[in-house]
Amino acid sequence: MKSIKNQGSNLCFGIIVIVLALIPLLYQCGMITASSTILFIGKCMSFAIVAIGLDLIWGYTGILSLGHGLYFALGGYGMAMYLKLQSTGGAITDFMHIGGLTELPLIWKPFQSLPVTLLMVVVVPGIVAGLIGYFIFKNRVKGVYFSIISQALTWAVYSIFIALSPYTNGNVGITDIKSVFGSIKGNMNFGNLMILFYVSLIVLILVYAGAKFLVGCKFGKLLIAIRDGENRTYFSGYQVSRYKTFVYVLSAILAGVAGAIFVNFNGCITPSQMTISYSITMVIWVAIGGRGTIIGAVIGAFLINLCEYQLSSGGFVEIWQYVIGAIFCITILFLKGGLVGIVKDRTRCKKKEKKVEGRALGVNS
Amino acid sequence: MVQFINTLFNGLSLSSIILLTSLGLAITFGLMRVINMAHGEFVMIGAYTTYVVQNLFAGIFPSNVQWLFYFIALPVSFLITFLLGSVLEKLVISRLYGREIDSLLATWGISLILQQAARSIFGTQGVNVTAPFFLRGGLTIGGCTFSYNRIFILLLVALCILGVYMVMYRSGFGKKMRAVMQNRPMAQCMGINSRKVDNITFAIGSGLAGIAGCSVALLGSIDSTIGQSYIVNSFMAVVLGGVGKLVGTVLGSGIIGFSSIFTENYTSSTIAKAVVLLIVIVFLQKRPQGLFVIKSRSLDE
Amino acid sequence: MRNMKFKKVITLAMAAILALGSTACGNKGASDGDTVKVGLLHSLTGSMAISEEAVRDAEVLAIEEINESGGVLGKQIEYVEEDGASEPSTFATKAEKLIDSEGVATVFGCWTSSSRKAVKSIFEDYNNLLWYPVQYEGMESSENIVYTGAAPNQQIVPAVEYLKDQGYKKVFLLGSDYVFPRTANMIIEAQAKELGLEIVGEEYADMDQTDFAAIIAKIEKADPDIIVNTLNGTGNVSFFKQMSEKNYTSEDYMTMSFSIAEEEVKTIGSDILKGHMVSWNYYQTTDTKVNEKFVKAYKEKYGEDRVTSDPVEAAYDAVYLWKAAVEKAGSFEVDDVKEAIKSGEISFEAPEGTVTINGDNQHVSKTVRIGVVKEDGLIYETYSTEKPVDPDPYLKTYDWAVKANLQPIE
Repeated sequence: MKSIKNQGSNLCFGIIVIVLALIPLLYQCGMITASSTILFIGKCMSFAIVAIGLDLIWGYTGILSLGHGLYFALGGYGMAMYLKLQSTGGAITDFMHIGGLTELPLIWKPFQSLPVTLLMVVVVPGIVAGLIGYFIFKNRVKGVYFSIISQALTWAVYSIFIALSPYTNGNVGITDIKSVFGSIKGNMNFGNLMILFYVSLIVLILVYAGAKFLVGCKFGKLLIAIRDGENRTYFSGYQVSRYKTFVYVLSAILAGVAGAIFVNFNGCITPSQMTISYSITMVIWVAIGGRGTIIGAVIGAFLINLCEYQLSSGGFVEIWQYVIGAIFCITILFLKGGLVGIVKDRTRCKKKEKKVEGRALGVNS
Repeated sequence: MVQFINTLFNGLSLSSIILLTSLGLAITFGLMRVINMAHGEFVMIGAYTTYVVQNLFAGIFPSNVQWLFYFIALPVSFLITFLLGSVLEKLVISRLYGREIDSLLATWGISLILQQAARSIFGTQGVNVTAPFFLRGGLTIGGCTFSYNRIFILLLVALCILGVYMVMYRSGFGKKMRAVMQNRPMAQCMGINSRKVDNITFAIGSGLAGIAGCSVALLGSIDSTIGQSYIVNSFMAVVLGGVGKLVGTVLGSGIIGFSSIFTENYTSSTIAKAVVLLIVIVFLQKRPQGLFVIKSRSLDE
Repeated sequence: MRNMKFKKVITLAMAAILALGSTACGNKGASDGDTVKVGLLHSLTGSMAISEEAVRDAEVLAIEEINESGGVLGKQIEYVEEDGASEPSTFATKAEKLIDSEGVATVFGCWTSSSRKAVKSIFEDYNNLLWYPVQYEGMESSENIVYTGAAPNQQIVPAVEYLKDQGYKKVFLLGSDYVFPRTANMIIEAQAKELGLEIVGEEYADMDQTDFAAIIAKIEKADPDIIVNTLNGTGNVSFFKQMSEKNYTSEDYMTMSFSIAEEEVKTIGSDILKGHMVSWNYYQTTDTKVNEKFVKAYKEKYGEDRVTSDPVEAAYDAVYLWKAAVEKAGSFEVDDVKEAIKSGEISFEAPEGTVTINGDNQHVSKTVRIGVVKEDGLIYETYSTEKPVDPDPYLKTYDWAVKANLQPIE
């Protein structure tokens, strides 16, 4: 049974990958008329990566982080700082000049080289998440408490980024940057866009495969065990807080990587990527796609963003807000497994999963 | 001295506003462990209700009794949000029984819908509620000016707390409520209809948000995003205060309110906000369950 | 069992909506047949929707007027609207979509500096034109953006000079914590040094600030004669309401505001704001023939209770200026239109008076008007420059600005 399910999701991911891989070719033979569509799909790939990370921590381990935007933005800012320095040639930027700085601040210095930047993109979110996770999980902060704290933390860092405008350019963020491979806008730069697109696709595949491997082995089972019965896992002799911290760090790193990719496609990063509502939007992707399945996170990220891209314009704006709110609500209420859960339900034998009321009571007592 | 009194009053006033917006949240969180992300939108509904009542009044009554509108708006805001809260509980929250995190997310979906509804009905531009004459300006004593409006909010908060206290600790319903709060299965075994208790409690919590909306309507702009600007502080106050004790929420709001005002005296408001949040986060590491905890031997508490 | 069926129905409905959404496609081409496509890019949701909707309405009004009178180069204007959702990255995505997927001839849009800066490089890379209708902090000029709002020397600098002439000496700078107030205050500080004004305090409020008690206390302590206010929309409402709570009127603390227009007066209340000064290029009360017509048309279309304001008028001008540029170029091609703009001869008989696009910096020459809020909620002019002031976004013609080294490095 299990293997069929697994094959199904891998097959599904395979199809997604093939479709993605074909997109630039479709453009070249004229099936897709705009390169900006490809750019947007590139952004969606980065969203899929952060969604996978979020799914690991929420769908598998049952810890809801409402602050993944923070890590996404940290990764994004790291990359953007490098790209900005590339375009200024290592000199100080105009916002530093306006802010009264005369030389490059220390915090910007490491971002002059690409390898260091790539390292930072992974290390900075990792360390921040590690510190926070270590203390929070060691003190056994759980459930909604954790969600609220992660939210508050995001808000606090957001405020700091706004306040330190000579270093971060306040709420304008870092704009006017090209991708690692040079400009990707317009027809003549299509080659660059293609390289960036395929590199991102490879990262997505690696992340998917890695996540899939992780949840497939004993570690993944442990995560689910923590989700479903933390104390029982604890009593079975596992250091629950270490596992939690590890997953939290891992998902933060994935968010950071995703942020770095996003910046390349987006050409700017702003603190609004760090807001609470942006972080919750990420949770929405995972919820609607299907939490607890890696493929669900991927599908959710693509589907919701593509819909928003198409529908949140003109007369649809109003309707879209209602639709996304309602779909999200309904998913949470009735379709715990999201879209993927539905498919899974149908392929599964008619064995109905009966919820035991007693468990819910137990949690609540 | 004057400055010190001013600062104290400002801190007290900010704390009271935070308390007013978090009181309802605290009650629902205490009872159902539901963090209602749409709480801010109930504040918004309260504010818009005040606006509507004001306009209706302007249409019907002569201008010399205009000020009465505010006294009508308060109960009307309470009633409308009370009913909406009850409906929301029936439709959404009650289905997420025991799934705390899910109910947090579902209410976020609701808040998206409510915000858009406000935009569709009232437009995106802010609307204005004119304070009734007796709430305009302030009372000056020895160089300190105490705004009537803020004094009124202080009184209103005191009244709300008294009301909540009476309901929680001095009424039959309150007894049931506390019983459900402390041990749900046991209370159910004793024949308490916990669903009904949940419903009414949630409605009361939402109603309090309505009252909060009515009072913040006089302090700033009323638009579809107003709820979001109050909500983070309210969450923090509730979490800091701990579950199930009114005094915890009062203290939590006090700490956040006063520390905001004091830090802001020395830095910019953006930094102050970050500092206060970080202090609360660090504090919660020491006492993850907040300041006050109902003693329980249950493991998953 | 019923539950299962219910689930299925929901699922199908959801899947249908999502599938429909993700496959819907826009069609390309700027001008085919008898229409020309333009884009409108404003926040219709989120925190900036408060301000941006009125601007968008003005653009739609102008487009409809032009269409009624025969269109541009014989073509009807068709507008495509996108929601920036108050989020700069969304602005970037949507700008790309408008330019590249929809293939619009030009875009009217943005409000905040952060959204403009996020889309700037996109307009440059794709070589399209953005018409930006809001006064801003200057220090920018792009071939692909036409700024129809005021540059600092058309709003801030003359206002500070006016304050000096009126005998104000001690200035308190109050703003929201973002790029416009910070840059504006930097300019004002440099100018104050030159004019001999004393800056007694500088405060930035958080963008979501709802409680101004601490800031008001700081103002009391600094005891200025004039508060130069660059708070944003919702911040203004809270600030002024809470000032009035403390019995302060314009007689106790006079303010000069750069972001309060007629709409803001309406949400704050004229009883609170009366007597305070503002600086803009246009008011609803501006006395020109064109304005009479404009105000009438705007109210007719959007309701008697709506008011026109400087950004609304600048957005309205933008559409007409684009029309003028296109007609001079004789083509909708961006390069031709840019060429026409460079000539410096594109002008429009606007409600605020004649406005002309400066060919060098793509800003618009404007008359500066200092106004006072009156009890009826409108703003009345108390001082105006005799003729339109030429835009100088980098303040190159001001010695004190050059001395203070305000210009951004290239």
